[in-house]
Amino acid sequence: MTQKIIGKIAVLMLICGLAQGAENPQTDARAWLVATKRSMSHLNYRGMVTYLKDNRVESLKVVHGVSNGVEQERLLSVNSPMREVIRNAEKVTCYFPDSRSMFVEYKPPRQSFLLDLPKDLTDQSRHYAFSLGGTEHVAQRPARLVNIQPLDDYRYGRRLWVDVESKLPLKFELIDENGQVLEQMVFNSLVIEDSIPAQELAASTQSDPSWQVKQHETLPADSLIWTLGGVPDGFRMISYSRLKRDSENRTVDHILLSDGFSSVSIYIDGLTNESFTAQPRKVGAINSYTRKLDQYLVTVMGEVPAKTVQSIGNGIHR
Amino acid sequence: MMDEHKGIRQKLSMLLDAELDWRDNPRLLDRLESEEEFRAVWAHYHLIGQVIRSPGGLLADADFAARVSAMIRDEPTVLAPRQESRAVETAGRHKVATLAMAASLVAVAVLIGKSLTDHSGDFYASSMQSQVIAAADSKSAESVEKMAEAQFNDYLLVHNESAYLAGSAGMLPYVRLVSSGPDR
Repeated sequence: MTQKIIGKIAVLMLICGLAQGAENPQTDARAWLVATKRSMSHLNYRGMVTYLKDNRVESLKVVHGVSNGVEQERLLSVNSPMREVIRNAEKVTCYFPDSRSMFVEYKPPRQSFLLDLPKDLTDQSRHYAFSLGGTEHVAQRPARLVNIQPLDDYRYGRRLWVDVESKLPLKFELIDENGQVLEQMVFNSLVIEDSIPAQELAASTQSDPSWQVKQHETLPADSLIWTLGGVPDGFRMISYSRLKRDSENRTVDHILLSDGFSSVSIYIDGLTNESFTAQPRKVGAINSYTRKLDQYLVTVMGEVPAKTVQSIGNGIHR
Repeated sequence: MMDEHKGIRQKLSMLLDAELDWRDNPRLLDRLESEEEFRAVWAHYHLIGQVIRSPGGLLADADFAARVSAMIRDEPTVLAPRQESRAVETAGRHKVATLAMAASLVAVAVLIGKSLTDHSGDFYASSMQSQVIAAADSKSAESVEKMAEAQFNDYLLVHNESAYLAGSAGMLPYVRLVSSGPDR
C-alpha cells in the first residue's frame, strides 16, 4: 500500500517536473547554465584549449582541481610568450616571465553581490534570452548547445556547448550584433579525473624577488566621486580601484561594471596630453571609447557593442 | 613584407609614368582601391609627378612650408582607424605615411623654390627651418601616439585581469589574460 502511494507521488512529481519544463524552455536552458557553473567549480579535470581571436590562434593548457573544498586552477600558454595564471581559492597570481612581472589579486570579500549570483539567473533574464539548441560533438563528447541572446543592442550574444555527461563547458563563442564570432574558446581534449595531483596545479614559472609585482588597491564603493549616468540597465558596479602609475605620481581610477555576462571597465586618468583626441576603437571583442572630462581623460572599454561604451563614456560626470 | 611594399611602390611609380599598363596589373588596382596606405602613396607620387612636369614648377611662397608644418602640428592624433579592427601597426604605419607625405610636400616645395630662386638666401633659410620644424613635429606626434598606445595596452591588461571579478559567463575568464598581456 505504501509503495503504491510512493509510486503515485513519484509519477505526479515527474509529471509536474515535465510540465514545468514544457511550459518554460527558458528554465531548461538556465538550468543547464547553472549546472555548468557548478561543474566548472566542483570537478577535477585537465585539457587543452584553443583560443581564437582576431585571426590569432592560441593554445592553452587548463588544469582544475578541488581538494578539501578548496578550488585550484592553472592556465598555461604552451607557446611563447609563456604566461601562467594560478588560482588558489581566493588568490589569483598571473606570471609574465618575458617582462619579469607578476600580478596578484584577491577575490573581494563575500558581500560582493555578483559573486553570489542568483542561482537561477533571474536578473540576467531581463536582458538575455536563454534557449537550448541541438546536440553535437565537441572534443569527441556529445554537447548541448545553449544560446544566450541579448534582448537589447547594448550587449553581445553567446553560444555555449555544454558536455552532456559532466555539464562542463566545452566550447564558447562570443557573437556580435551582426552574428560574427568575435572570440572562441574550445576544448580540443578534456579528461575528467577523480582528483588532480598537487604538483599539476602548482606554478611552473620560476619567479624571483627582482620581479615587479603589481597589485590593485580596491576602494569602497561610497568613496566614488563620479556619477555614472549612461549605464544600460542590468550593469552593476563590481569594483572600484585606484591604479598607481609610477611616472609623475599619476593615479587612474578604475571602475568595473558587469551585467553578469559582460564586463566594462571605466578608466579616469589624471594624465592628459593636450593633443589627445581619440576615436572609438575595437580590439577583437573589445570596444573602446575615450573622451575628455575637465582635466581628466575618460576611457571606457569592454566586451560590448560600441554603442554601450559610448553611452557609458558620455554619461560620466562628477 | 617590406620588400613587397617596396616592389609595389615601384610598380605604382611606373604606372604613373606609363611604364606599366593597368591592364597587366589588375590586382594592383584592387590593392590600391582597398588599401589606404597605397592610396596615400599613389596620391603622393601623383603630386610629385605634377610638380615635376608642370612648366614653371610649383612656386611655393615663403609661407607654404610654414603653413604645412602648422597643419601637421595642429592635426589631432588619431588613435585608431575608423572601421574594421586592423592591427595597431597598420594604424601606426598609415599615420607615419601621412606625416611623411606632408613632410615631403614641404621638401618638394623647398626643392622647387630653391631651384628657381637660387640666390634667395632668406627663402632658403626659412624653408630649411620649416623643414626642421616639420621633422620635429612628426617625431613628437609619433611619440604621443606611442604613449597613447602604451596607455591603451595598460588599460586593456587591467581590464582582462579583472575578468574573474565580473563573473562573466565566458568559459575561462583568464584565457584573455594568458593570451594577451604587456607584450601585445
